[in-house]
Amino acid sequence: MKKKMVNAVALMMLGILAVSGCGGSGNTTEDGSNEKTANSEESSDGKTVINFYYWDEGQKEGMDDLIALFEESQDEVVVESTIVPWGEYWTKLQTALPTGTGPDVFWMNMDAPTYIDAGLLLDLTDALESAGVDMSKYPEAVTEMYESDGKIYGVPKDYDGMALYYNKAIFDEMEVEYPQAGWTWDDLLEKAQALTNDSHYGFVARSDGNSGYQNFVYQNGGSLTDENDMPQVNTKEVAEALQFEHDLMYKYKVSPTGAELLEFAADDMFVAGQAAMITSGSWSIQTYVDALGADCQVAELPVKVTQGATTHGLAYCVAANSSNKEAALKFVEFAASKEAQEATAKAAIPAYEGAADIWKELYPDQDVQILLDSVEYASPNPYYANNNSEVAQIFTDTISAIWTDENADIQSMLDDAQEKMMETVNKE
Amino acid sequence: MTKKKIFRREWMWAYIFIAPMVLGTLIFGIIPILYSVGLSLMRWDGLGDKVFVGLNNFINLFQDDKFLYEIKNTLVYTIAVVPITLVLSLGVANLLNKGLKATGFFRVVYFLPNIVMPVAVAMVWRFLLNSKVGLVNIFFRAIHLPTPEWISDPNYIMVSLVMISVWSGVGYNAIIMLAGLQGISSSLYESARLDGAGDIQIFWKITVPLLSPTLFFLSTMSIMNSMRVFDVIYAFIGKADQGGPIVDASRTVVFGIYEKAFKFLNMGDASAEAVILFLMIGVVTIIQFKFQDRWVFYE
Repeated sequence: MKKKMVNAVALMMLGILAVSGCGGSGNTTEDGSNEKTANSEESSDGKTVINFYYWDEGQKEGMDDLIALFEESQDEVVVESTIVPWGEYWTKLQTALPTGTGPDVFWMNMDAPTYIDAGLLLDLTDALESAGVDMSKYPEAVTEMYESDGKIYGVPKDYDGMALYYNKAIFDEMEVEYPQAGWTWDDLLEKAQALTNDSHYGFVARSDGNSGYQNFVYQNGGSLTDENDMPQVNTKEVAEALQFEHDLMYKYKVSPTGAELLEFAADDMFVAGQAAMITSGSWSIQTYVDALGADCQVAELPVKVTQGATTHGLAYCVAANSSNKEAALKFVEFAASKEAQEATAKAAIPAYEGAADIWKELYPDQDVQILLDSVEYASPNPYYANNNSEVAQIFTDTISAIWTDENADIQSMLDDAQEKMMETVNKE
Repeated sequence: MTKKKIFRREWMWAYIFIAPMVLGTLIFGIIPILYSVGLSLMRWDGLGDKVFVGLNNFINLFQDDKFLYEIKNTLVYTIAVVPITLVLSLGVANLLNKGLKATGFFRVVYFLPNIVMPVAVAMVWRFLLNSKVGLVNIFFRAIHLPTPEWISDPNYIMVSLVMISVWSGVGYNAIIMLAGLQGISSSLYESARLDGAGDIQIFWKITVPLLSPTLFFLSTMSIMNSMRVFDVIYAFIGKADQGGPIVDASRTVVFGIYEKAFKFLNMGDASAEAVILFLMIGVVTIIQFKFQDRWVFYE
């Protein structure tokens, strides 16, 4: 009898463990890394070898095509590419670049100023000029991310477009008119209210900056930094933008609240049909279209006092202490050409003007030109003059507190944040 | 060959044999520790030059609210996780030691959570603890218990983290304890029974004292591991690019070290915090060893 009880208890606990254990296999993801390091300076047939690092496995096809085209175009330089997974990429660059054991050419993102200030990126200005690269062919919002004191440190690779995605099926079901170009925040609110019911929200007021609140700040004519890249977050424009999103969550209840967004990913809610509209970048379109097909449609972001969006773009950079500068420059000069940019167009919008046709053809059912055009009125992510990530974290903390507090006093929270951010930006 | 020569040769071989271990410990243990003690006195962004700043990093730390949260959360976590895990493990180990038919099978099953990657554990529990669709709250709702927001309420996040850690720690501890229990001679139990001792008496007077070396080992290790907890928490509070109240309620010392070193590129502050953690763990471990005479019984 006693033994039976013991067995039963053990079995019950086993059941609990087994149930939870099964979920595990489906959720585990592992970064597929196919890292190999090549440090040979010269290949067997006397060609110069340069090392090229990037992080996105998903863009391997494009990068391989680019390298193949480059190697066909000349016969002196060979490119050894290495995919370093995102989790290790920056640690690797930080340790390898200063010691000269790193790559010759590599992808860079908005963190470029840190690397420029540390003297780790090669000044490309003269080389690009003498190679006849026309920088005006690239979106200004991207080129300025890789410029410092009028010098160019990166060749733009791609950029993100920003738009409002909507689920046509929910609009049809609720008999709401689709968003039109030039629509406003008021229209957004009105539609979101009409689209909200027990089974879905009208809109997802995202909690992050890049695809969320920054867009509203820019549309309201605001900015998180002043012209010297000092924080400037307690302005009326910023407060109004955040208040608008906060109202969508708590006052009008047409968007999941900050707490709900901690539990459910915003993208998941949209693809699961639990929200009718969401703002996001061009990187999301593949996921959305995979899930919703032609029901996923693209509209312009709403307008307040102006059109506004966030963009971000990657660039190819060269290591300042590369031992093969000549060869590395050749490669980035080639990567700057329209032909090269078209070769990489499948996974990301190429930065070169007009090179995006191949990318557009991937989404025949959506008006993706809207995403491409958004870069014309877009601004880059804020990059604070000093201690950028620490300053940014203070703002992120404040924003998270606002999103999860129904009675948040936004202006005074922003005043506090501004004070702390100024303190941190001025810290050595 | 003289005796002296043989002696000398033996010494040489002794050094050669211990060399790999000593070198490994030096290169991967001692030198990095000393290096980070040095870094804790400097300002360094990992890219540029190092600047000596004395004890400034430590002063900064103690003026930082987040550091205080980190200390508090780490202590709360440790004080909750270690006793609960040990008590539950002792229970499970005793159950397994009762001579069930399938002890081997259950032993494997209880051990399984321990071999699952912490990140996977965190992901699964994020799903189970989801306040709306998670199994835990569905179950709680069915038996009319309150259904808290385990993941998004700063008051509950630590409870969730403790729960997960206990769940994944019980198996390992139980298996070690089971080994300890099986090492206790059954003649002791038999003679106790003959003398008329009851189950509870036997547990306290025989099982616990004879298991105390195992319990000492496990409590020391669990305290060390709990004070260094990072991966489960980092994975559980999700995309760590968030911040705010929820992160403040769950950030631990190692989380702070990670953030300072790899997010803010502030190796000096990170090393200072690592030194403080080292001292904290050191003090706790010394106290444990000092007090072991009082309760640990070696046969």
